[in-house]
Amino acid sequence: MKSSRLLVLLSLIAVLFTMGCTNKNKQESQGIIVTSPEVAEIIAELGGIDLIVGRTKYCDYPQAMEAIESIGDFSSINIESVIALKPQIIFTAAFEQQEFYDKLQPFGIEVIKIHSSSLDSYYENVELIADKIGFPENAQALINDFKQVVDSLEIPLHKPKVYFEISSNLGTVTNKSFIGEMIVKSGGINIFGDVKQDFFIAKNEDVVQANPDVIIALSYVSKQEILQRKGWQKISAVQKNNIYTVADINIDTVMRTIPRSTQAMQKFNQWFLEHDKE
Amino acid sequence: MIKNNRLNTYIGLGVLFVTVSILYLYYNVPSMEILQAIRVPRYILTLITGIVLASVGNIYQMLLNNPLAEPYILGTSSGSALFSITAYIMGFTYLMPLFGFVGAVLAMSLVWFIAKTGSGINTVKLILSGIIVSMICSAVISLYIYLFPNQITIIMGTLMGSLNHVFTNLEWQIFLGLVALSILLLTYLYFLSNSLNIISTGDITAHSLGVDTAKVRKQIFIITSLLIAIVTSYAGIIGFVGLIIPHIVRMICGDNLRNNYFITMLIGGTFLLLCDFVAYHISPFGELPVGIITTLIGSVFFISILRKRN
Repeated sequence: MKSSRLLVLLSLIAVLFTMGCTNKNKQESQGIIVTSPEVAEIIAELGGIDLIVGRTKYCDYPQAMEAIESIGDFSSINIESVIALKPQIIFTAAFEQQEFYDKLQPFGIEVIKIHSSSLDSYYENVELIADKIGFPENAQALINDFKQVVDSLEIPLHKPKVYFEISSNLGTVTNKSFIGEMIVKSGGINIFGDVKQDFFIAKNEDVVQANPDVIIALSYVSKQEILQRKGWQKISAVQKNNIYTVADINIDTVMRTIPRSTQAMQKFNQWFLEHDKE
Repeated sequence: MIKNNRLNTYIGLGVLFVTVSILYLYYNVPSMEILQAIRVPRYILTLITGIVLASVGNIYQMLLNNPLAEPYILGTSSGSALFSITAYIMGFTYLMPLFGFVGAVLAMSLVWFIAKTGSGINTVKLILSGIIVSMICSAVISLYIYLFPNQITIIMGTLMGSLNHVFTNLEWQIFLGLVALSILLLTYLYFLSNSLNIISTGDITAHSLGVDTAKVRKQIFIITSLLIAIVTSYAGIIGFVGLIIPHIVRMICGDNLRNNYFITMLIGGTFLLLCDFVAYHISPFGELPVGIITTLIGSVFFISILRKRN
């Protein structure tokens, strides 16, 4: 008898609590949630950072982002806090967040997947994002600034052969990837440019055989380690010490497809020109 | 007559081994420098991995009296994988093999600590503690995948096993030392094979024949764990070889460990060389993970032998 009374009391308390919670967020929010660091940067550059009400941990640029509420990790997003923020639009990255996308559809929140696989798709995405957040007039300026930098790059007379390493098991990119396109636009020739896949694990002997003039290794290996790799002493880039690692460049500007990608291209271009002078 | 048969088996396998080795080293080789600096190291890594996996699998199946036993069953490899991935995530790419080795030794000690009883070691308890330690390590690796989705290429590379380790010059010297150590350990295991034959008939018989079962089990456990530690720290976890090759060998030349010890090594090494050769050359660019090929080729081969015996 006593225990059933306690149960009734407890359920009453529970009901009161839930009422208290549901009553809180009644007002309609019009905000944006970004789960992709790339889109976050583009929105900020378009002047829309004030519209962002939620972001993921990795949406960390520009600095002002850090004041915005984080709703989780890139791949593990807290769905409840997303819905509680009552966003109008959510921008997600293409592949990793499919599950998230499926879960949010029923709540009537517009989910937009953004993935820029090439320069052209990047320009299109900037226009799309500007449109969706209500700053269509700012898109052209951002795109033009980008194009201007790309056009201003001085193509070296003798284009160097470039090996780009993305993971230490010799994972590399081809011309089908955005990074590959950046290498081409900066005046380099990717030794694996023609492979019919955007990313793959290269064979050690193929790298040595291709004899690259410049090595860009963003695989968190040290320059010393690359110099010491067995059989690599034959490679021209190793002999001339034309090796660049994460210590030489802001890796976000290479891995993300963002307005700051121009900085990476300028860096690449500078390295390729230096090789040309030798 | 039986002796003659065994001689023929040895000759046949020897010829096969030499053929596969020549193919592995010389097929489409661009230059002698590449042969010497890149293909030979990979050849040695592949060969020793195949030999160790097959021999240890064979010994485990006898020691644990379990046809499903494989080199990874006692947790050593999971410890190795966990630690080398940890090294990678912490940014010490070049320390991955060292961490892998340390992880394997730690996992081995933990398994031993859990399974240890007053009088020695109980095989059922040993398998169970091996599985528990593996599960702990896998859970942490899954956590890594969850926390660091960007690092998935290397994590998967370690878990699926790959023979494309890029050696630095210093690392190569160390590896050669480890290969020499492995050969010594394998030779020592050969001299334990008689005792192991006796143990596999049951502890009571073994005791009455004067075999100190506890001591032999302990020695075998430590030596095999070291061997697996060396191999997994460079090649990751390559499935199938250690499970199926011993069965194939026993079908060909019987249960006696003393008789099938070298044939196991020979077939294990040749098999992995062949699989890696296919994985290396089958794609027009890059290479396939060797684990896929070992399973595909191995299963077909195994099924055909199984059918023939029926």
